[in-house]
Amino acid sequence: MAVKFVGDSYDFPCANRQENYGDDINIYVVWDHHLIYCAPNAYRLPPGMKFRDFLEQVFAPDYPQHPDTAGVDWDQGVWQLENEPWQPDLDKSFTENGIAHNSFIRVTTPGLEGMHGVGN
Amino acid sequence: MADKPRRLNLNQKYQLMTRGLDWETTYQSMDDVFPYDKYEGIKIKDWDKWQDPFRLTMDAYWKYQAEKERKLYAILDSFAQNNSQLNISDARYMNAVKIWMQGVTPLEYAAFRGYAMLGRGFRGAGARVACQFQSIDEMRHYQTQMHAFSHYNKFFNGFRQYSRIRDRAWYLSIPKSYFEDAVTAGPFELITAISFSFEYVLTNLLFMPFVSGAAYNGDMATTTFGFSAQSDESRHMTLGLEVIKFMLEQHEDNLPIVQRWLDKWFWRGYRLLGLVGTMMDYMLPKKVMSWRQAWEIYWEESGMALFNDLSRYGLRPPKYHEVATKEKYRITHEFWSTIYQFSHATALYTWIPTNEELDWFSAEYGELFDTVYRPRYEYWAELHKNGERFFQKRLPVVCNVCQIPIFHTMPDDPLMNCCLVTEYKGTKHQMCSQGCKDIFDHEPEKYCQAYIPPQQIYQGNCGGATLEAYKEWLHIKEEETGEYYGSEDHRMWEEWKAQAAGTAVASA
Amino acid sequence: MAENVFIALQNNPDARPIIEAIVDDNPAAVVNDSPGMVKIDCPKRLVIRRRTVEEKIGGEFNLQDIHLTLISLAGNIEEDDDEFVLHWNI
Repeated sequence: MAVKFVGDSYDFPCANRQENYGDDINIYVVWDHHLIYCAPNAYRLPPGMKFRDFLEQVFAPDYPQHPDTAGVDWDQGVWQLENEPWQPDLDKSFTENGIAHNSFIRVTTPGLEGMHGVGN
Repeated sequence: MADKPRRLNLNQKYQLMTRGLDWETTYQSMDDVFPYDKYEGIKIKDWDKWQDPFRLTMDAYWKYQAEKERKLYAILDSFAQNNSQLNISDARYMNAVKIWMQGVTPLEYAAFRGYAMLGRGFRGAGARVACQFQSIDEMRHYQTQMHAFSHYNKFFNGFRQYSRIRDRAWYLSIPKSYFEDAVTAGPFELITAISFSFEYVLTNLLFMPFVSGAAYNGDMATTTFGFSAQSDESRHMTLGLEVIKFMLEQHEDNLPIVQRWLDKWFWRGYRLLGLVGTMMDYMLPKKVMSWRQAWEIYWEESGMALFNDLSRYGLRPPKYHEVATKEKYRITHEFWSTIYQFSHATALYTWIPTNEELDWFSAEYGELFDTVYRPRYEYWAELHKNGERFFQKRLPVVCNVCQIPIFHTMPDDPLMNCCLVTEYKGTKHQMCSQGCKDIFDHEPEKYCQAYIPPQQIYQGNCGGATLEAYKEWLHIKEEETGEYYGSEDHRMWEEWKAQAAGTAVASA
Repeated sequence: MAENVFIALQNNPDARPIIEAIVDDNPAAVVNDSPGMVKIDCPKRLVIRRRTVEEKIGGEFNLQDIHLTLISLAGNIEEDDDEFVLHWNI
C-alpha cells in the first residue's frame, strides 16, 4: 500500500463499484474521429442488452448533429476493448461479448472518419 | 539618511518574533503535540534552519495588510458607486468572472482552512508563523472577492448560488477535488502542492496574464482584488520555494518523496489550469496574451529556470512537462469545445468566437487551430444559425483523478481521445492521461473513493439519472445557462449600450 | 534561453520609484509593460537597493514596502534592510 496514513488502516470501497448500480453496469464508448462530440460517452445499462440494440437505439442517436450518423454501419466498425483490438459479435449481449462494468470501448468506422479531414 | 540606532534590524526582529516566542514543550512530548509532521516520511533535523526570506513578522504583516485593504475597498466602493460594470469590454467577459467566483474563490476558502491546519501542524515556529499569515491571507482573498462579486451579482446571472454549485456541479468538481486531494494529504505534501507547485510554479499563469486581462477589459474590481491578492501570493510563492529547499537540505531521504510530489502536483495543477487558460483565451474579449504564450513565458522560460536552479539538489523537472508543452496548442480549444457543448449544465454562457477573435486564434495557434478547431467552430456557428445550437446531451466519461471530462487527446495525436484504464479492487477506473494514471496507480486507495459526477448521477445520488434532473438538483435556472447570444445577460448588455448611445446622441 | 529572474509590480505611483531604481541598478533589466502591471526580467540576478529608491522619492523607504505593490517574482530571495535580491544559483 503506497498511501501514507494516520491510524491503523486505510481501506475504502471503490465509489464506482458495480454493486452501486443494482443489476446494471456502466459502459464507456467513443466513436473515434467524431471530435465535435468531445469525450467518450458514459452509459448505465443492463448487461444483457444486445450490443447491436445499444449501438442503433442508444449510441448512434447520441450523435444527432453529425453528418456521418445517418450512414453509419456498425458491422464495418473496427473495435477496441480496454484499448486492445477486439471483435465483438453485435448480435450478442454485452456480457457475451466480454463487456463488463466500466469497460471502455472504441470504434472507428472506415470511410466515416469525421469532418474537415481531421476527425471533427 | 543615516540608519537610526537601537532599532532592530530585519533579521533580529524576525528571530525574536518567531523563534523567540516559541518553546519546547515539557508536560507533553513534542511528538504528541505535533502528531502529524512525521508520518509522511519527511525527515527534519533542525527546524531552526527554516528561513522566511522576507523576514515578515506579525507587526509588519498587520501594517501592510491593513494598507492593502484600505486601498482595495476604496476602489471597490468607487467601482460600485460609479456603476463601473458599464465600462467592461463586453458582457461575455463576465463569464470569466463567474468561473472565478464559482471555481477559484472557494479555493481561497479551502486554502484558508488548509493553512490554518499547517499553522498548527508543523513543530517549527518559523513554518507555523508563515502558514498562519497565509491562512489569514486566504480568508482575506475569499472575502474581498466575494465583496467585489456582490456588485456584479446585482446585474448578471450566474453568481447567486456559488456555494451550492461548488459542491454539486461537474465542472466545479475539478478545482474542488484538486484542493480536497491536497488537504487530505499530510502537511508536507499539502504545502508542497499548494505553496510550491500551485503558487510558485503555476499561479503566475492565472494572476499575471488573466488579471492584467481584467484590467484591459475594464474590470477594475477584479484587477484590484486580483493584484491585491497577488501581492500576498508572491509571499506564498516564496514560502513554497523555501519549503522545497528546506526539505531537500534537511535530509537526502526526502528527495524521492519531494520529487514524487512535484510530479504529481505539477500534473494536477496543469490539468486544473487548463480551465484558467480557456477562460483567458476565450472569455477575455480584449486579449492580452494567449495560453500558448503564457505557457512559454511562465513555464518554458521561468519554470525551467527554476528547475535548473533546483537541479543542484538532485531534483529534475516534473514528469510529463513535455506533454503539457505539446498540448499548449490544443488544450484551451479542447476545453472550450467541451464547455460549449455542456454549457446547458453550467451557470455560464458560451459562444462561438467572433471572426476577429478566430483570426487572433489563428495567429496565436497556427496550423492546428486552422485545420481542426476553426472549421469545428464554423460548423457549430452554422448549426446555431439554423436554430440547432449544438449541445451534448449524454454524460461524458470523466477522469478519475483530475475529474475533467476525457476530452484530452493523445500526446502525439491531437485527433484521438486519450482514455487510459487501470484496475483496482476489481473495479476499472478511467484516466485522461499517463500523468493522471500514475497518480492513481501510486495511491489507488485514495483515488478509488473519488466522487465523480457522472458516476454519481447514474447511481441516482444527484436528483435523478438524466441531465435534466441533474440540472434541477443543481438549482441552475434555464436563463443562466447555455448560449450567450440571446441570453438575459446579452439582452441587458445590448440595452445598456443602446441607452448609452442614445444619451450620447441626445447630448450631441 | 536566458535564465531570467523577474519581478512584477503594479503600475501605480507607489511602484514607479521602485521600477526606476531597478532600471538604474540593473543595466541588463528589461521592462515589459502590460495592462495594470510592469514585469521586469533580468538575467540571473536583480537587485533593489533601498538607497536608490530613497533617492527617487526624496525620503525614507522601507524595503518591505514593496509588499504593497508586488505582484509576482521568480528567483531565490535574499533580503536585508538595504537590499532585496532575486537570483538563480546557476
